[in-house]
Amino acid sequence: MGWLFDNEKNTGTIPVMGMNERNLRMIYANNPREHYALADDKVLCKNILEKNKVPCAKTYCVIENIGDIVSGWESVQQYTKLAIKPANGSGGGGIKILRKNELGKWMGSGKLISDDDIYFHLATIIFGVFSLGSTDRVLIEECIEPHSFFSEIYPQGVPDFRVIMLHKQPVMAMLRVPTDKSDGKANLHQGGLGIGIDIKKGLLMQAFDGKNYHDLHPDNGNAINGKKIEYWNEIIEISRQTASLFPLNYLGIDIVLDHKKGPMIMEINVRPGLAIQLANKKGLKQVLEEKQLNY
Amino acid sequence: MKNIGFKIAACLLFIIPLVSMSFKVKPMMEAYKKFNPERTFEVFYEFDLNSSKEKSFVKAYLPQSNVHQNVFNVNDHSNGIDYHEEIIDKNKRGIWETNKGPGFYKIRYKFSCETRAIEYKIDPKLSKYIAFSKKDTLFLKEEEYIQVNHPKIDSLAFLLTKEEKSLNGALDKIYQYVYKIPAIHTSKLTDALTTLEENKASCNGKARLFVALCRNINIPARLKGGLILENSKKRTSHLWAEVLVENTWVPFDALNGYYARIPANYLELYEGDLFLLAHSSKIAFDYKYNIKEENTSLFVNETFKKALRNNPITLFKLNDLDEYNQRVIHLLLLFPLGGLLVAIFNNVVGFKTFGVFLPVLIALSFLDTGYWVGLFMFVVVMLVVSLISLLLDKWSLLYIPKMAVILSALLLVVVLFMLMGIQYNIPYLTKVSMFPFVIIAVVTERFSTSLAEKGFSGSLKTLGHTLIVTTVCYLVFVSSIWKAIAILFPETILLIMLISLLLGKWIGMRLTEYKRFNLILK
Repeated sequence: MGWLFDNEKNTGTIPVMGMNERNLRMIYANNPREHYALADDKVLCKNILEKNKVPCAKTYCVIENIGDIVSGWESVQQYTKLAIKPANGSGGGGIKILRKNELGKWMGSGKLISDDDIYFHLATIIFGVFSLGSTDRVLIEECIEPHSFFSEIYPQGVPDFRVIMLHKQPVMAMLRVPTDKSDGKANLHQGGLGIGIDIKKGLLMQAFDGKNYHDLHPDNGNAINGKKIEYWNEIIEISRQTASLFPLNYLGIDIVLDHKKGPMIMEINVRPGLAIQLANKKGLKQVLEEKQLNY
Repeated sequence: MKNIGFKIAACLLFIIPLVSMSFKVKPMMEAYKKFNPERTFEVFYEFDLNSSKEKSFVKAYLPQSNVHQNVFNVNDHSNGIDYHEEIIDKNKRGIWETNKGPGFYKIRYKFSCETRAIEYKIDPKLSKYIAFSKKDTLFLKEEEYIQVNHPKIDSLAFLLTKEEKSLNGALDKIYQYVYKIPAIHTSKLTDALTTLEENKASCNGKARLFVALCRNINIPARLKGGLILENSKKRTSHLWAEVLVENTWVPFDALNGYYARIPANYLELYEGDLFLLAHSSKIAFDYKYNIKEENTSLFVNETFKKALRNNPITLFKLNDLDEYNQRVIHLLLLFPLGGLLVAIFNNVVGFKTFGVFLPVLIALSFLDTGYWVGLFMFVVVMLVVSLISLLLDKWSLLYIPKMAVILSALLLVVVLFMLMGIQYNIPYLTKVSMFPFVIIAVVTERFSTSLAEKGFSGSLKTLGHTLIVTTVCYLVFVSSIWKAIAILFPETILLIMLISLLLGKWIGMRLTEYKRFNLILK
């Protein structure tokens, strides 16, 4: 019975980690609740990263009050492209990517966007429409241009790496890549691909589409399995660096590759999902055992 | 040691209820051995009299508890009538007296009883010449309607039993003879001799002949009067016989075919050749016995109640609340169990539901509306909400004002249902008024949030899971067993806490995860 309950060091016979065990042994045991906000709030999170010179998208502006919308928006007019995000948004809601066209007018999703449209959107974010009930802040930041490494796999959307850090050590990683089905999104449950990563060698492994495993991208036949990941050492390096900055010991760190600046931290997750096990074709518990990590 | 507090709490939650329950098991078992109720009835004596005299009276025999029946909840509701009881020769009689002059009087006397059938075994080696104490010679005497020593009775008794040596054999012969006499329906008093001569009789004639034949061959016997209990309003009472066998009165009913046994639906009221009812002369008198059968619960019955009367850890006291509060507390008692069910579905099965306790609340509201009507309302409301939600999300409204819009729309749907129900006379649509609006409003909020977060198909899945858990909760809630257990053993609530506590530390995979991770589990 020992393996059934969270009171033994025994890991049991099943190598895969389920939700109950993740919550009890990974999240509750390693992440003190009072520090969740450091990771959940994109503004707080970036403050820490920027202060410690960890590469991440440059913050252009943070807008907290309705009264600051106009001045805030004016302060970012020097840029030609940017991303607007709610600091506490969930599931990608409220994110707008804007760029200027040849005439210097702002475009979003292929359409012209007026300043009034922008003001309305910024107000909507502050009112908490994308943050379920609570008011929120707007984060306007540098827009990342995906590295050519990604377009060698799939040309659209922004793929990202997910590295799971336990006690500041990388334990598992995957690359999330959009497909035709996923409409530019890289999330596994929206039809994206989860590609397992050999952490030691920095190589991509098999790709999982939610049902089957592939060695090539199912849409375009580009090679995936065995592909060498560019900047892999740097990716691991900034992951370690990031993990060391937060009082949280079980983290999912999302990293993108910018075409000029290389690896940058996108987001930190205190409740990283379990699908990474499917992408790697390996249970998290098995990995922890191999690494002889106590948890 | 890790988690020492948790372990102590778990041990206490295990030991305390077990110890407390063990104190109850013994008295319950003993009570059950003595009396295991099979059926429960509620009986009303409804007597109406129109008296033209200054004073008048009504007398009726009242039931007493014994090995066959357990009488409780006795209540006299008669207004303006003096009431007292007397006990004569072990029979208990209620006496209602009016002394406020002529007028119309209503006597309403109510009692409940648990009953059981009893079968007696008469030792076949027992001789028909049985020994009995001197005082029992009373039960051999000739009476007005029991002509023990009449020559015809004499010769019949001799003829029937001359070959028989055993008591059982003799009784069997007499019983068979009386049983075969054709039965007729008559409210007329028939004596033993007339029954024999006319060779037809109703219960009272047969019982008297049976008693007369027994007494003739020196077997002490007596009449027993009472009611046959069934769902009805009736005026007929019943009469059967009892024979004294080794200090036990053994019942025989030669009309309905009960040899040395009494069925559960017989209510004993008096012994001897008496009349159940008596009243003063020259009054208009009408009467009926209004009998209702009630569910007999395996756990919450009078027998167990009596056995646990002195145990402080029961919830019988809740029955002292008024009806409304009783219903509320009975619903509340379902909560811990519902919570546990939701926890099991979430952490063991892997079902995500809207809110933690919403399935419990929805199931409770289904208790009000009935399952199918509740479900129908629920699904229609969800459909309306999702349509409105989709629309409102297009306009990107703020969260709480959006909810206010949805709430108003919800009310309109409910009112529309009611109006349609009234217009077209569809009662289940008007039932919507009973449907706890607050609960559906909360579900609506969660559903709308979920639509924004997970999209339509994800929300639909959660809705499906919510309905499955709701259905299971409902099925558990409608059975009366848990209510009975909670009242008799409130300790089980601690056990539910214990199971929930252990579940909170359970790290096994959820059932749905076996499917999800199927590819890497092999």
